Amino acid sequence: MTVYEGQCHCGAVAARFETGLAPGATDVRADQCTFCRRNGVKTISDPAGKLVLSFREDAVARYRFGTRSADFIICRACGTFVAAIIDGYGVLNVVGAGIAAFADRPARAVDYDGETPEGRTERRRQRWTPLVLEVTA
Amino acid sequence: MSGLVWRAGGCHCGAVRFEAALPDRVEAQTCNCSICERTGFVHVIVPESRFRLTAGDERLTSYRFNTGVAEHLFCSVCGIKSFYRPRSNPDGWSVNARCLDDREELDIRIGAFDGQNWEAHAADLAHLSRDDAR
Repeated sequence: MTVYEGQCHCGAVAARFETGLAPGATDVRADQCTFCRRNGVKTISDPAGKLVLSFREDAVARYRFGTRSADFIICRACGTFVAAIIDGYGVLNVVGAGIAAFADRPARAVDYDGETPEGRTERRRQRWTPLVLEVTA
Repeated sequence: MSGLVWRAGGCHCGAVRFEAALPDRVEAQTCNCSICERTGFVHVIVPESRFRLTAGDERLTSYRFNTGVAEHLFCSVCGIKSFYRPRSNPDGWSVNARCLDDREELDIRIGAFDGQNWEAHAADLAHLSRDDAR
């Protein structure tokens, strides 16, 4: 396992991604949804890895839209979108977290429009990274 | 203002809305500085007279760092930075091409600005916020 560490621009939201995948062998994705396109988002995940997010609860906005089935974690101080999370799983925005080893790689455009709510949850549980939240009050 | 059309845009949740007067062919820049890299901001720099905030002033959060000259503004609900006051052009505004409603209709020519070496290159952008700029 290799550990990659990143954070939002001001440092209030930290991310640690543990993976056995080399950056060149990782599926870096550019989601084409209206939110991700505005942010130039590139995401990665590893079902066999671990994603640790650390922040104070009052330091983040949890933004929900569309099916409202995931929390998009945004730093209230600098506006950076770091990760999207559901119960137990997360997907990391390597652009927002500033993890160049992945952010500098070309991304594959993906579009999940048309998924059923159940299908979306199932895909996330299968493809996203097991999540550890270190949230302080 | 001849040849310019007011184009609307905004954040993701809809709280913040702006308009910028733009030509059909728009000169834009990506930037590799620490903040622009995190948001993928695509800069369309316009003079003060060609920008207006139409909704959401009360939802904007301000963020400053380093020299503090640039005022980074984002929606407090969805985090999207749809425009801001750039350090290179403090007499104008930079709107985010990613946040324009009509971005698919516009001919947006995107160049690369080297924000990691800001001091060496900022003067190249100064003309974009003058009233005779195109």
